[in-house]
Amino acid sequence: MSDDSIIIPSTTTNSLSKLTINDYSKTGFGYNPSIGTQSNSINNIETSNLLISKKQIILSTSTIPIYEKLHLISKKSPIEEITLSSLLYLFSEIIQWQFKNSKNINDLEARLNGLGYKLGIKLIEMIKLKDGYKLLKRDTKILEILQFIHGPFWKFIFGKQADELEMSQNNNDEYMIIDNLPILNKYISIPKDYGDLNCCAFVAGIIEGSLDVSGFNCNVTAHTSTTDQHPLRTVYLIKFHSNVLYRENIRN
Amino acid sequence: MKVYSILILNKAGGLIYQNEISSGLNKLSANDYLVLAGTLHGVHAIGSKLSQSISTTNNLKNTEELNSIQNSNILSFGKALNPNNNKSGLQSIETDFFNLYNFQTVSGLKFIIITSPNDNFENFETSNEIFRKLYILYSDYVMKDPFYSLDMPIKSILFDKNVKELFR
Amino acid sequence: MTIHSFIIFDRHCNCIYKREYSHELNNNPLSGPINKNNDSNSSKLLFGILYSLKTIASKLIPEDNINELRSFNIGDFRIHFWESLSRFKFILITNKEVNIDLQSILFQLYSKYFIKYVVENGLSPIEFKYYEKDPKENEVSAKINNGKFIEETDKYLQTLSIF
Repeated sequence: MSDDSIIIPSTTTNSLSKLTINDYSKTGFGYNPSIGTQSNSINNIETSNLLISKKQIILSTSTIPIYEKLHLISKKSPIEEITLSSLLYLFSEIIQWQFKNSKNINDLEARLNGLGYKLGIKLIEMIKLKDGYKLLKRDTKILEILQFIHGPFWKFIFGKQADELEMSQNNNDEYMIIDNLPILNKYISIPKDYGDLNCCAFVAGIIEGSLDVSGFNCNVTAHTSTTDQHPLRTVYLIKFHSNVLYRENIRN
Repeated sequence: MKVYSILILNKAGGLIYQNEISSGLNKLSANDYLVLAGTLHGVHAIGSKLSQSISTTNNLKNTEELNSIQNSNILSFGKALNPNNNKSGLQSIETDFFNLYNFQTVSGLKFIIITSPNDNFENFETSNEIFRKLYILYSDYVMKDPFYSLDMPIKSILFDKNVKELFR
Repeated sequence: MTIHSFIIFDRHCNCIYKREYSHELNNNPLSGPINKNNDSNSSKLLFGILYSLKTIASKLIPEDNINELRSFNIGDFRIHFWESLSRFKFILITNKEVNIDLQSILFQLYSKYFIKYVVENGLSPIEFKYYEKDPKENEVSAKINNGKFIEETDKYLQTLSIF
C-alpha cells in the first residue's frame, strides 16, 4: 500500500483483504469465508453448549414423508431440530415483508393472522393424527378442543404446553390461552408508535385456523399483557361465534 | 473493573447506541457523543494504517523468512502466526481516569466500552468477555428484531433492558 | 517484548527526535535509523492520533480534573505516551506484549536525559523551530542531533528488560 493512499474509515478492515485460505479466527469471533459457519463459533465450550441447548426448539422439518415421520415420533426417536435463530430470522423476514405491504398496524396483524390461519388448518390434521394415532377422536365440545390446543397442540409447535387456559368472567363466548414467554416474540421490541401490535397475531392465526377447521368458528386475537415477571406475556383471546355456543347449549 | 459507558458504532462511524451504565464520566451532550464516536472511528482507521507503516519501516523479516516461519507455525500448532483477527486498528486507550476498549466485528460494527482505569493492563480478558456478551445480545435482540433497520439507532427496549441486566 | 521506536514531538507538532531500533535477526538493534523518518507520514499519523485521543481523554471526565493519556494499543503495537509541562511529547512504541505502565521510564527519559543533555546544553536549541531566510517559506524544524543524548538514551533503553 502506498503511503499516500486515502484512508476511508469504513473500508479500512485491512486484514480482511489479506485473507487467505489458511487463516482462521483465533479469537472465535469473526466470520471467515474459507471456513464457513464454524469460524463464528464461540470458543468457550461450556457456555456455547448452554446457549445451544437453550435455543433449540422442536420444529419438524420435512425430509421424510409425514406419515413415516409421525411413526418415528410415536416411537420416541429423536426429532429433527432447527435452531431458534433460524426460525426467528425467518419470522422476522416474514414480518418485514408483510409490514411493507400493509397499510397500517391493524392491516399488518390481519395479514399475519391470515398467514397463520393457513398453517393452522394443516397443522391440526397432522397433530391430531399424531396425538390420536390409535383412536382418532374428534373433539366436539369447546372445552375439549381448547384443552387439546392448550396441551398437545401447543407442545407440538412450541415444545411446551401453554401456560394458562381461562374462561372469560364477563362473556361466556370468550376464552383465553396465555403464554408467558411466546418464543416468536422473544427478541422483538415493538416501537412505541406502533400501538399495541403483537406479532403473535401469527400464532393467533394458527389457533383460529385450527379451530375453524374443526367446526368451531371463532376470532382469535393476540394481546400483550405485561406482568413484572413476564414482560412478553401474551394473551390469545378466542371469541367463538354465536352458532358455536348455540350448538354447545343443545349438546349439553 | 467498573464499566462506565457503552457505545455502539455502525460501519460508517455513526453512533447507534449509547448507554451510561454507571456515573464517573462527564455527561456529554448528544452531539458531543456523535463527535466522540466519529473521532474514535477515524482514529481506528488511521491506527490501522499506522500500525502497517510501523511494521513496514521496521521491516521485521523479509517475506521469505516470514513465510517459512508461518509454515512451521501452522505445522506445529495448527494455527497461522498472524490469523486474520480484524484487529489492526485502535484496540484500547489507557488514561488516568478511564480505560477504553474497542471491538470491531467483521461487518465493521464497533463496540466500545469505557471502564475504570486499571494499571496492569490485564483487562483484555474481561473486556473481551463483555464484548462477547454484548455481541450475543446485539445479534439476538437487535438483529432478530423485525422493526430494526440496519445502521440506524437502536431503540429496542428489550436490548436496553438486557444490557442493563448484564452490568447489574 | 520489544521497543520499536522512541519519538519526541515538540509543542509545534514537529517530530524532533525519532530513534528506530531494528530488531531483525543477527542485527545490532542500534543500527536502526536516527532522525531519518521525522517527516514521514507515519509520524504525522501518530501525532494526529495522539491529538485526537488527548482531546477525548480530557473531554470525557468531569471538569476540574486533569486527565492524561497514558498509552493505547493499535494492532500489534502499544504506544506509551507522556507529556511534559512544556508540552514535549515522549513516545515509546513497543509491541503489545509490553503490559506494564511505562510512565516512569518516559519520565526518566525526560528528567535524566532530555533535561541533562538537551535543556542544559547551551549549544542545543530548546525551541526546535527556526526559519531560514524567508520566515514564511522555509520553515524548518530542527532535530536533536546531540550525540551524547542519543548515546545515553540508547544505553538506558537497552538496559530495560522490555527492550
